[in-house]
Amino acid sequence: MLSEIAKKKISELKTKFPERKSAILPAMHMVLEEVGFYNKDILKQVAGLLGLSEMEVAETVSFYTYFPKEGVGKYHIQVCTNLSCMLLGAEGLVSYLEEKLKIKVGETTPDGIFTLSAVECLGSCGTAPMMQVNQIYYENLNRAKIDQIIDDLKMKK
Amino acid sequence: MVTLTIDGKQIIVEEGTTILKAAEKLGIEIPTFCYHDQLETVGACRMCLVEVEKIPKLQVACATVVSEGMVVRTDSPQVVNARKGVLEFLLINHPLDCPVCDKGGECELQNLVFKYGSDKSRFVEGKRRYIVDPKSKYDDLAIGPHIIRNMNRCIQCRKCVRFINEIAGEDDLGTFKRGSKTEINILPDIPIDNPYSGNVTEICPVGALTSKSFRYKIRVWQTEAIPTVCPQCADGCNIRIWKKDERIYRITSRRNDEVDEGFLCDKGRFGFDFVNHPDRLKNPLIKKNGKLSEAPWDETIKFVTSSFMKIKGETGSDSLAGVGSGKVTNEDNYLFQKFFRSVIGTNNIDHRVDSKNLLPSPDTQIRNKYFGMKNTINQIANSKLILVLGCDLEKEHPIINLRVIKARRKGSSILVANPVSTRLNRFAQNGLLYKQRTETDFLNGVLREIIETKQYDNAKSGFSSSEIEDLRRKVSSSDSLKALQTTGIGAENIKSFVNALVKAESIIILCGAEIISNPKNVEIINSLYDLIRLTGHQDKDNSGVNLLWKHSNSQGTLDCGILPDRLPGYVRISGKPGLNFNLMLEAVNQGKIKAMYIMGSDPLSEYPDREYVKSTLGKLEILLVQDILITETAKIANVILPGASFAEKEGTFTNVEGRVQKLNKAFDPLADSKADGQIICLLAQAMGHEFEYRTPKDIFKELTGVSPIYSGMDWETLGLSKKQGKVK
Amino acid sequence: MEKILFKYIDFPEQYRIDTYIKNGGYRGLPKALEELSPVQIIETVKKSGLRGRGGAGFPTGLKWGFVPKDSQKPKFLLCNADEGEPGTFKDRSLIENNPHQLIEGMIIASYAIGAHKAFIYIRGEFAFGAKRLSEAIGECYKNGYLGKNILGSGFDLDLDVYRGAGAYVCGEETSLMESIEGERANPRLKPPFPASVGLYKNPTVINNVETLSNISHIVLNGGEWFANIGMPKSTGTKIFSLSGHVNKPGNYELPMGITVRELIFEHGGGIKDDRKLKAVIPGGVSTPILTPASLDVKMDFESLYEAGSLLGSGATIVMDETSCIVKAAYRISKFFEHESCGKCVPCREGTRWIRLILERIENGKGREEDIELLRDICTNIIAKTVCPLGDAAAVPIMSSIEKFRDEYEYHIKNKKCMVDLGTRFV
Repeated sequence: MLSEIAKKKISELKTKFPERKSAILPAMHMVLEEVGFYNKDILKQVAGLLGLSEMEVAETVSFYTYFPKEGVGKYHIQVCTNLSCMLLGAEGLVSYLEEKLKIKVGETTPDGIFTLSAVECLGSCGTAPMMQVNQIYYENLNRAKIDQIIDDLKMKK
Repeated sequence: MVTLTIDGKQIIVEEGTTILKAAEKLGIEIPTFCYHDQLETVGACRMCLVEVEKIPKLQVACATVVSEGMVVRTDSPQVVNARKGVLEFLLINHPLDCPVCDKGGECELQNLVFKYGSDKSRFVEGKRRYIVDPKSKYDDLAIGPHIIRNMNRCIQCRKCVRFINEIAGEDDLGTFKRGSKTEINILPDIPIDNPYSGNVTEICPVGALTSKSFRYKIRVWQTEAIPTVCPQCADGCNIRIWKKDERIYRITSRRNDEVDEGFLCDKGRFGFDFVNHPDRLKNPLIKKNGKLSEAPWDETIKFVTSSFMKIKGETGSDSLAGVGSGKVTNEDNYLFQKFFRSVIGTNNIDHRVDSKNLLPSPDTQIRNKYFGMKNTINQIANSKLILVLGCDLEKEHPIINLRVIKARRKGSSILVANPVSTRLNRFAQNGLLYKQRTETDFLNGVLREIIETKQYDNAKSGFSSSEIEDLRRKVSSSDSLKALQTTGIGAENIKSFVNALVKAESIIILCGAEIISNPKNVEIINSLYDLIRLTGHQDKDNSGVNLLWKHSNSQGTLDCGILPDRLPGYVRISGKPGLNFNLMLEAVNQGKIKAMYIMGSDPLSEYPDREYVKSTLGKLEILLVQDILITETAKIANVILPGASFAEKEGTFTNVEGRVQKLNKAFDPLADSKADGQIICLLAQAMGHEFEYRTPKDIFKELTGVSPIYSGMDWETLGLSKKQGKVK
Repeated sequence: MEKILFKYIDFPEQYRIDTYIKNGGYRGLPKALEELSPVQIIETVKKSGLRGRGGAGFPTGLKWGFVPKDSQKPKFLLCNADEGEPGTFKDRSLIENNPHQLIEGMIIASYAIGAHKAFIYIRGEFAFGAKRLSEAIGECYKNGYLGKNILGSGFDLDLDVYRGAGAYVCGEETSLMESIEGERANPRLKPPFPASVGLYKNPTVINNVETLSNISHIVLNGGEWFANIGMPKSTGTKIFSLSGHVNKPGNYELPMGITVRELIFEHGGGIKDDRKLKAVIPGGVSTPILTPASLDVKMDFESLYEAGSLLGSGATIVMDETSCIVKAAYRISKFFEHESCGKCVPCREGTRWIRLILERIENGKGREEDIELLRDICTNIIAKTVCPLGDAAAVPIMSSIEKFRDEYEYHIKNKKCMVDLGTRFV
């Protein structure tokens, strides 16, 4: 699943830190960048490249919520629903997206393009409501902006 | 030293002591769930919170180190409320399925709730479930051949995972996810199947991890726990047999920090099927017309003794021979040699049926090279370097293996040299593979490297310069150099091996079966002693050469004189020694030995040349085998006497480090079988000798009178105090 | 008052090293390396009265002073950029818009404590910030501000960005270290403290982004200059992240000790749609909630503590009359349940229980006894957990009951909110 370049980059991480385990999260960020998700086989591959056991990698990765698992859509829409965003309509934003994408929170569109998640604070409270699509932040959202963003993403596919 | 007060009582403890340990000394019990003195302290369960004067927050007793003048309260309302709070938190999601939980009756959660908990639940929400099968109400999951997990009962102390990681050095059990979803699990499709997996069922304070074999068989309180010693290997782990009537339901550890530190291998814990096995011998059997058939005891005894007397009368005492075993007790073995020496009148006694290459017998005055272990099991963990040679330690001595892993955790270097790779190699700084039977060449290479590079410790070695020169000449000869090529180990590997050896502050060498039964065993052991001397470690603590015997009582069998040339306690035979097992076989073939009495040994399975031993033993007029199952050897015997298993008799085992430990009887010998010692007495009495012993205690008392190395040992306190029962 | 940290926050391309230098950057560093000894720098920071901006307010100079000077072990400096406290978005701005200000502070801090390796642990979601930082670090290596023999001083420092992966608990210093070590980020027991046993068991100092961003200014202008800003015990400026129902949400750098009222009404432009103010959370969702009665409380460590709350990260969340306190508490409880690491019992079990009860009340199935039960559960968590996350989860719930008990009672009795929430999404 991983390209040769990514494999090489990941195995280089092995010696970057005083302890090999430190390379797990950086390697997973590379996986996210390259593949967009992880699964059992990828974890096994990462463990092999870093000279760690599968268990070591799996335990650590399972603690963190940032890396999406296999099955996530091409565009992972994560809407902040924490307090500041909630006060400024995050729930309405989520409903609007559900309506627009015809999926519920936690689901992926049948074409595999969009996954909708409600997430914790993304550190953008002054520009609420907001959401993150893959690595990009979209802030001060309203219906019009959402329409535009979704249309743009659909165009890009 | 630090003086502090706990619950109004003053105590002086060493600096660095935790409140928990200080309280323990005062007899004040502070409840814990996640604390285990062999594991790193995590302070996670918060059950041990106590009040410390001048500190506003409650402190965890497990991790808080005492300080001068500290005033601690473990019984204040604040502390009791905190405990109640933690228990309530642990219970809200607990399924409270105690009636069907195997841990019921010995569950730490149950016991502490009984003590502190409330009888009222304030939790009206849905309990958290870790659903294994959505179609089932039960969430039991087999996570390995021995272990069942029920996550709903788990209190997440993580002692299981920590044990697996820290003590066993494995990682087939882990912690996944986080927060209230945290889960103890295996990786998909990779079961927990390491040789120590069963310990997690014992270390688990609740019923989250239970053992497959014990599950739903019986309630704990209907069983009785009998303290005894594991019969599986020479390490001598202390165990408890949990039995009801004449059946073993399970085996658990009975912590002895000198030996097992409270852990068992899975073989010791789960491998007790043979005791209640349907194939157990229940009656004496005599071969009549080529077929073994049951016979009453008196008839069998009469048949055996008259045969023995007839042969003795016709061709003399030396026409008979006895083979004892490292699997039966000291008392059995003592009586066995006494029977042969005083009743039959021969020294044809041995027990070493698994090798053609026998080591010389040790002497009573010195703990010489062939004695067994020079170090104690505990010293292994304190040595800075451990060299494991010719030994698959995990298989042969699983609990000693844990000490090596412990040493490794403490920063010691591990060197492993074997003909094939072993699982211990993953912890080895250096894991060398030599071609089988090239041990001496390899060791000569090591010694040469030390001498030629002048890395030996001249002052401490005690070698004179001429001795060094002799040694140098031997190991540097062209033959030696040529031989080194055959080992398959390159010069660079020898160099790094030596580099580690000469740097180490202490060296313990552990030799296994591959060395003990090696054709060059004596030469290898001599080289190892040279190595210890050259590096300046002779007669030092935490250093020495150790031979690791195979069976649970191999050491005791040697100690009790199951040798053709030694009486109990290694007292030399004054006259001509008897025959060892190899010579016995020759004598059988020459028609000189006509009867053999084999107790607890199975040469047909153990001897290197099975066909030879089979055809030889087939020539005997009388082959008497005494055992608990129909062994390969028993199959060709004329007479079989049913012995009792370790669970059915009292007596002592002497473990690999020379520790004499007591076996206790869990129940009577199965059916019509008898304890080995009792059978010997019946035979002796039938031949007109007294052999009157009421219990194994009487035999042991006689042994301590006869054997200089067992003198002064007291049956009543055996295994109870540290100093007791250790071979001098 | 002149801004310190935010002076150039909106300046075009301030994130580039040449712009940063043109605007007066990298002046504190040469001064530190050439004119001051590590001890003198620590003294200067002590004199400045600078206290940790991550929430706990621990005196920075004192923290640096704890690092054993004679230890042969390698020392580490960590920058805590795991900004995750809901309501807080100041560090993100400092990183994205002025990364060199932070890096300069980190080089000086490393020099002061004798560290030759430093990490910026940035939350995984801040992908853009991580990129900005990496680029800025690259510029530094190119220009001799990082690497071997920095500015010819003989001092070496390597700086790396380490990205987190969605775990609020990593903002707790020992969890952050566990995370860099590649472990599950469970907090460690203290003692030992990071200054002696920190990252990879070595002496470690860990400071917040805002804290470190102040360092170059303090070194350049002196400790006294900084100490004269703000309040006697809470010196300097503070970046207040203002969010919620205000007309002008955003980050405001203001001297310590301005009042809640000034922040919301003068700087934040007052409450949106001219509604009435109902409540203010002054330091991020883990701090106790305040009512309009506290509008004149000064925003500094001491004053907010005396008023029954905490300065925390300075994240001020404003709730108007249409906000439901029970709903807000429920949302906060969901967050802490999600972020509890699960290591210790009271936090792992308590956060879930609180959430379940609040969810039930929110769904109109509350019982009268739930209010006391919630308070009891909070009591059983507070001060009994391994790390501060337990308190962070329980304290705001406790305070919301104290201040707005009537809303809870209404909710339970009438099975609905006291207010009409409507929808804010347009």
